[in-house]
Amino acid sequence: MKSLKKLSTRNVVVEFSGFRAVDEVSLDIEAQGLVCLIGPNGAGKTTMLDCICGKTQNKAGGIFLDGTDISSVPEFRRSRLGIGRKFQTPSVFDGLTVAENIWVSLRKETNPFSNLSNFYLSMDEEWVAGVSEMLGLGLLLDKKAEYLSHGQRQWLEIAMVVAQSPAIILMDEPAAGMTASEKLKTAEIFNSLKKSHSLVVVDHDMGFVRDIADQVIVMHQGKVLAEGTVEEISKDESVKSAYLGSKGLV
Amino acid sequence: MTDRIYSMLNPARTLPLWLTILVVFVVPLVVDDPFWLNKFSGYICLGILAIALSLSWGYGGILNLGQAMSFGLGSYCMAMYLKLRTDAVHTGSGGLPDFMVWNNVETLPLIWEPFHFLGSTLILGIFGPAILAYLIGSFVFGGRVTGVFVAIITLAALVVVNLIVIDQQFVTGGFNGITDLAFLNIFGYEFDAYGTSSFYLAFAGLVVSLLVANWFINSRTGLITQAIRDDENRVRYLGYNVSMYQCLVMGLSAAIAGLGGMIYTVVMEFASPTFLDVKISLAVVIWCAVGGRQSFVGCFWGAVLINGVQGSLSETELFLETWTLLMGLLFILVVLFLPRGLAGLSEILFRKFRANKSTQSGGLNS
Repeated sequence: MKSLKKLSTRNVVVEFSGFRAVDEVSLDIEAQGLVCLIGPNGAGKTTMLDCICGKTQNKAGGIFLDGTDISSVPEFRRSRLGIGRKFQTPSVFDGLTVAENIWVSLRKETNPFSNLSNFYLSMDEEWVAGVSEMLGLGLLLDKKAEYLSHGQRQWLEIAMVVAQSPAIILMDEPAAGMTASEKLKTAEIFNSLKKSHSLVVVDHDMGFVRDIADQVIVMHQGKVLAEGTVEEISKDESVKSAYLGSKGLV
Repeated sequence: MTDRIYSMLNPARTLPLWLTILVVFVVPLVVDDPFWLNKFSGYICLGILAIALSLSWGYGGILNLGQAMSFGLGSYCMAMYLKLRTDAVHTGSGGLPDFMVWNNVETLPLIWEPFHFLGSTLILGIFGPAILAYLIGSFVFGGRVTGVFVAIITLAALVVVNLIVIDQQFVTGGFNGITDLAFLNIFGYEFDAYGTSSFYLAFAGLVVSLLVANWFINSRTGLITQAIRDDENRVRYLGYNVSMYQCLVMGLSAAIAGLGGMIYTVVMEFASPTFLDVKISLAVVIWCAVGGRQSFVGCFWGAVLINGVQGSLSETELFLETWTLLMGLLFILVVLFLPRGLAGLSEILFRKFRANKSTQSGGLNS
């Protein structure tokens, strides 16, 4: 069983040449369960995820993993501490096959010098097969990633992140570009993952959010606007006005 | 399932590799002329340089325009060793090299001391460029420099080293380089630059380079390096120290280039600043593009083909004026019709051959 970790942020500020993209955001993410981060475009959702995984440096405030501030820890070490990140546009390795993509994420040894004596021959076939089976990529193992459809690329990146079984999984629009049935399956997987992991999911599709979220956090103009269950959020007047013009969010 | 494991023992995947080694091995049996044998030995060394760039560019995604720096440094290391083996013209055996006497140098510069011995020469010629490249890499990649800026910085580093070599005439022989060398002599066996011995020395260098390069890309480090080429950030957020991997591939590539440079000196019987100038560094990129940068064997043949064609065209009276135009035409044709170079062409032919075979046998195998 994977050890659970609790993520929290305190008064996090991110500025891009004077513009406050994230303005004093404090979040508490439980060690188990799934939190959806929603909000209009430019609300700072992705920036918040960037900040947690280390892609963007916070100007002030702190990011705490089990009580330790990790704001100054380099990205690859944050990943090793148990923060996994899926990017908005599917980032996969086009020149490698699906199996090799997943194989990269098997992080047994990280030192390049030690890995020189570690060959494909010792490849953990079963492990790769298991991961790909879970995400329905079993038949595509020998295909190069550049020939996958958009939805399949999304799957593959999710597979790579989930394969590492990080304590905190950050997903940026994982269901974007997926068909209805693909979304349904993603929701299923997320619902089984949240029993043993903590997931933070950014998404716009309220149907999808309804299917997976234990808790919803609404961001607007770099601040947290509201927090609660899907029902509470959809009744919230301030949330409705933030989405004004897009006919509400439900 | 097992098809996915590409090991060096898998004959289907490594056929071009073994075929190349075989073809190069039999060249001296076919070519009698010492002049051509020497030429081909030189091409093999340039082919090793192309393999080195293929490793960093084709597999690591690092367009290292300073590859000739490693090649040239290796070449100078060997030249310094062979120079100290000669009977000095002015000062007698064991004395100062001739160009130092012309430059009024009285004692052997300290930097020449390790080159009294073959062992330390080999270590410096291979690990010297590797460590230098690793250091340049750690500055570049530690500072998150990517894309075209990597090319500019490595090119600038090359120019700096080139200028230092030309400027420090009393140590390096300046523009003239280091000439009039002894034959390489290992345990009493002499390597004649125009004989089969030097050819097989170059051949051995080629085999070592190909095996080392293949060993690298088949290892997990190689896999992660290729992943970094495709998406640096994705690898970083999977928990790998990306810059360390990039430095390593750059270092290994420099070591191979250094080895090629050392043998090149044995074959050419001199070392000169032209071995580490911008021209050769840019030429390697063209060889790799023509050969197919994601294939070591392709890059090797790209280097041999272009240098061979260049050599024979420029020496033929008919093309004396037009050979550069013809080379340009060749490049344009490759870029237009073979975006993956010679390696891509051989794959297309191989697939056609297989398709023909399966239709002949009634398509049962397909």
